[in-house]
Amino acid sequence: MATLDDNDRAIYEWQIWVEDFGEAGQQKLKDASILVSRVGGLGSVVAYELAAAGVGRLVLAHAGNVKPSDLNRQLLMTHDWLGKPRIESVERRLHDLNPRLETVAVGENVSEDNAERLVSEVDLVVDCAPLFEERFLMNREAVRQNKPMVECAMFDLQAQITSIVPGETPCLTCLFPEKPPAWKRQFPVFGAVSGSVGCMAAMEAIKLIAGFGEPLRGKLLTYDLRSMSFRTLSVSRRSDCSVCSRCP
Amino acid sequence: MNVEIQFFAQLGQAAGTSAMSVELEPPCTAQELVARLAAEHGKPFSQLVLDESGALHPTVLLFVGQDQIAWHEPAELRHRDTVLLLSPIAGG
Repeated sequence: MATLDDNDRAIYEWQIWVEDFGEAGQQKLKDASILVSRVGGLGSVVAYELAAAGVGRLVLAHAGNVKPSDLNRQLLMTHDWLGKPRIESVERRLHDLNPRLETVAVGENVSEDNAERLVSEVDLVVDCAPLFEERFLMNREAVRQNKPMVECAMFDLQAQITSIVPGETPCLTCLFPEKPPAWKRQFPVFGAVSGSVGCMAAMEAIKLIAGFGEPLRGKLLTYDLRSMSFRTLSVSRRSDCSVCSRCP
Repeated sequence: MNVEIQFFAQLGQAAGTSAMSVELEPPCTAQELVARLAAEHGKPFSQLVLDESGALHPTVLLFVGQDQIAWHEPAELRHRDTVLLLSPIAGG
């Protein structure tokens, strides 16, 4: 475990001033490892904010090459990288921001083949995937390995976010026990919407790792930027949940 | 009594609106209101909201105010309640 040095104190001075966070919180971020999958509209902003905040290690999973239609919201992708692997653009942009960040760049999406291993490498998961198959896999592994997961999503001008703490809060399968039949891989959204909830997800991850503030445990924040209306809802565990009902 | 209804994400698309206000004759439960909405808003909406047995579809969450409502526990509505029907969304 590397302790904070003068360079860390110079870079993170403004957040070390945050009440209840301080140098102890910064040290926890430096020691932390977080999985972000995928690193698209949501995950780009999550990863960028976590890199900026001084999280020590990011495991990043995202397959495919940069497409023109990525560029309205996937802020770690650039025009000069069109047609090239997204994960290379992600890693390059993050290291431009924070050269001391350790990254594990995986050019695959989360699947049955890699979910257990990817989650085992980290302290916390941020679920930013577009497909429910991937989201359910990360949820299952996070619960099985007793690791918190920040769950965030967007659609049109709406977004939602919650923090899943195994054994304490509803898991994703409690909320949605099966793949929603109406969900489509492509949907309307602005980058400002995914960016807004991506920033919130990064803040949730920081709070959970550093142990301060009040994460959205058992609470689902939903909002609509069309009307700027925000609601924080209480959500419940399912006693018959196929994933987490055996948790204490 | 007057009740505000909000539809989140695809449910709003299927309903053709993200919010509406209705006048209800009490007593009326949230479950009765959802069944009425399903009957009034056509098949694309009802298929998303209800399963084949007429119960709330497992991928839809129902809230009155800030509280999640279990389908099997009738929740009587009050004047000026806000009912939210929420369908799941993801990233991308």
